Amino acid sequence: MIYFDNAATTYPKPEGVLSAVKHAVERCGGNPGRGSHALALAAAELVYDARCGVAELLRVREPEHIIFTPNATFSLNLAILTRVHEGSHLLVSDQEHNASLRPILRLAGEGRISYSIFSAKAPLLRQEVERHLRPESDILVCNLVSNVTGHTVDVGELIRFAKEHGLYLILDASQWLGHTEVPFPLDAVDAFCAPGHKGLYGIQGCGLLYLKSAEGLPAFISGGSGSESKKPEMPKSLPERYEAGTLATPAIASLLAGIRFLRQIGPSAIEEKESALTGECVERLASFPDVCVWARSDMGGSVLSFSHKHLHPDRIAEELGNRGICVRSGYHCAPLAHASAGTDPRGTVRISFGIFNTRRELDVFYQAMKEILKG
Amino acid sequence: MARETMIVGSVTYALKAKKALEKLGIRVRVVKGTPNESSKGCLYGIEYDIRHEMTVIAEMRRLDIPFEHRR
Repeated sequence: MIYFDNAATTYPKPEGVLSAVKHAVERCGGNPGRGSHALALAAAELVYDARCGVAELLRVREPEHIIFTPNATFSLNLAILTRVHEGSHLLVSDQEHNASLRPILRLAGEGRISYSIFSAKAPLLRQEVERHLRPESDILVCNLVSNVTGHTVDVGELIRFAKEHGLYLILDASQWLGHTEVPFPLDAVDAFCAPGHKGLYGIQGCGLLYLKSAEGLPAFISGGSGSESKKPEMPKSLPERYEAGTLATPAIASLLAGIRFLRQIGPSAIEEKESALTGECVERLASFPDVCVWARSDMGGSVLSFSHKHLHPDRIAEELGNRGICVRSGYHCAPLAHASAGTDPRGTVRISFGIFNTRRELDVFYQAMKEILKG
Repeated sequence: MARETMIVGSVTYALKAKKALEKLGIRVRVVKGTPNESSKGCLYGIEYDIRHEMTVIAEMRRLDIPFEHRR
């Protein structure tokens, strides 16, 4: 089996991740933050250690500002829906995943907010975003790496722009975190959202949200928080304010083990390896007639897409699947990216690499593609 | 040895306090406050040797952790 669908979820998981899950279930099986017996406290301590691990990775000071959610979609919904107000105007990139796009479109459909779409690929990003700025603009939402083309936005430039214009900055780092070095402390970002099961190599079931401040923000989901239970409303303190209900301790433990795994290898080494595979894959695919490839302009990163003039992406993915090669076809839950790339209405075949992929697997993929396109 | 309990609110604050105090060599146990001790409901706290009282208070203030002594 060759797995080239790491943008959907990384596979396989490192050995340390699997043993961390087992340890969490067997040794930390209580409910974190719900009791004071040994198993509940062991679970709570494990979750707290994971908060510290994430805070260190993001280079932010306060572990209590790391909120664990079920997934990145939940994090993005939380960030967007707690911040918008009647009349908000959102600046939204054209490479957003439905995780952020759909809540925005729903609010706009209800007539509560308005939004403008800017091109994340514009050569002069700042001018492009500025072009859409209105006096009522208050939120900037941007996916740092397109899950379709791998196009990457300069996080520093976004932060500076948001600060200069007083915009609340919400970043989707689903394809970014774990694939590159965090270049500077991310405490200038208002809301930073990421999954645990992609670049951080955790299992599915846990996402994260770094929230710079909860001041003035309403609660999101309400329910048990393990503290201040007599009060009708959720506690004001983070992270409990946004963590109603039982946390997924095994998934959170896996995320921490994944971060430790990343630290051992080093994000720069990961980026180097994935970029080399992406570059080689782009070159090989481009050598086929009638194949069009979409990738980062420097052919780096870990995500690329391609399509064939005659063969439907679903057919190519199916043929590759029949040969034991896992890729994804279709829209990848990012309709705007296809509109801007011109890959409507069929979508693309997406290849996405992880740390366990090899050049040998690329050779097998290349041979398979030769067979498929010949047939 | 006499022990003192300081209520800090959430389990996250209690663990933050515990980790910070342990770095200073102070052994701490995380405990749970019972509802009849608080108008707010369940709360967590830390239990420590009373001889470290001043250090614990200073550390809570440094970490910006709200606290009150268990009555």
